[in-house]
Amino acid sequence: MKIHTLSTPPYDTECERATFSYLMSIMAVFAGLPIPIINLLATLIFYFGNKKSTTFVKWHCTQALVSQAFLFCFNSISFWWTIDVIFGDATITDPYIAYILLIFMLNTAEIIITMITMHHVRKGKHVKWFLFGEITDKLIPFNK
Amino acid sequence: MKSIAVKLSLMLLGITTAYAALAQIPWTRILHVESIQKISEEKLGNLYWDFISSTNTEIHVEDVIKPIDSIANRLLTANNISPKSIRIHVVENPEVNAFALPNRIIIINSGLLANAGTAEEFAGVLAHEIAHIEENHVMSKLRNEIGIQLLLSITSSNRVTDQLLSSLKVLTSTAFSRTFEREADQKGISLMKRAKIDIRPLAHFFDKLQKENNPLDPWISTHPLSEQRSQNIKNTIQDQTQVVPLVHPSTWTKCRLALE
Repeated sequence: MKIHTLSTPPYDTECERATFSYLMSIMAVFAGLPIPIINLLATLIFYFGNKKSTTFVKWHCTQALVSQAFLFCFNSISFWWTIDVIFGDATITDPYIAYILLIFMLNTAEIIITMITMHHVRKGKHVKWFLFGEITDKLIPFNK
Repeated sequence: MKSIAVKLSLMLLGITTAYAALAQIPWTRILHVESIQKISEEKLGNLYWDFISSTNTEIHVEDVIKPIDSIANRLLTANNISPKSIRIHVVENPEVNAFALPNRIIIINSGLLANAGTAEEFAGVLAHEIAHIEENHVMSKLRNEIGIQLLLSITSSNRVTDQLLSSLKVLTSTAFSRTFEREADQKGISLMKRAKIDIRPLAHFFDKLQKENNPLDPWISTHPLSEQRSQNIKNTIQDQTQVVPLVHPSTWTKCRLALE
């Protein structure tokens, strides 16, 4: 994670909107953990809601969306595996528990990183995550 | 783009390594998953049996119990299953039905015994139910029907819910999935063959019940005999070479008379 101070600081409203994009994904993580599509949908809705916003806001909405899309793949596997354990023929095995723990760790790490990002973005700083920041740069070029 | 590919590979490698490491830990042993499941099964089985025995009269007549025990022993010992591991209860109920409960309990209705012309016919049904137990179909079906939440609540609390008792209907009046029934058919027949019990009377019993086609007979109405299933039984009949008679016909007649 890289934190930059921008040469032209964003307006307070921009910082607020960019922070909300992360807040949205965090709230959705809490609400949507059992049904992983919820966090992705919430972030997607916020992303489209800010499509005509400034580059700073769009960039952070996109970073939140990209990270959620990545997490969604892992969360979906755990969701369908759990459904199979509850209603199907699958049983609780060591690999299943290991995967659920992994998902818990991934989501916890995402929440912590998101909170740190929110703190800095609210102060007008630009936070670029490992991998997701670079993907976002390709989608929305942002001149610091 | 190259940098993204490298970082993505690194991240996926990290996640895969973390998962591989976590999967090496025997979580099910640490968290006592099996014993929790076993306790749930024991509690459920006893709870269902308590309910059934409070609404149906259990038959303890020696002329009925002895031949049934003898048939069960033959089936179980020939297949290296401890006879003590399965509890069989005979209850007064005119419905032609037998079903397996959690905790390796089998309930046999007197109606089934009354309708089985020979001990071999009854042995076929018993073998089918033992097969459901051996293949762990009972708990799988309950899990499918009532969900794990209920099973966990049984482990943590002694409270008997109405929902739990209503789920008993799932075991007594509905069939297992097509796959489970096919598996139980195959396993049941192989249990009989290993015990050298003639499987021809079983096919005859199926045909008889099918012809009567009584919708009030749960065992036949919940175990639809498709042509394929019937054919499967007939195919295996040809493979059976060794047959040793079960209980003497007069003993079986005595058992049926005792029910009257």
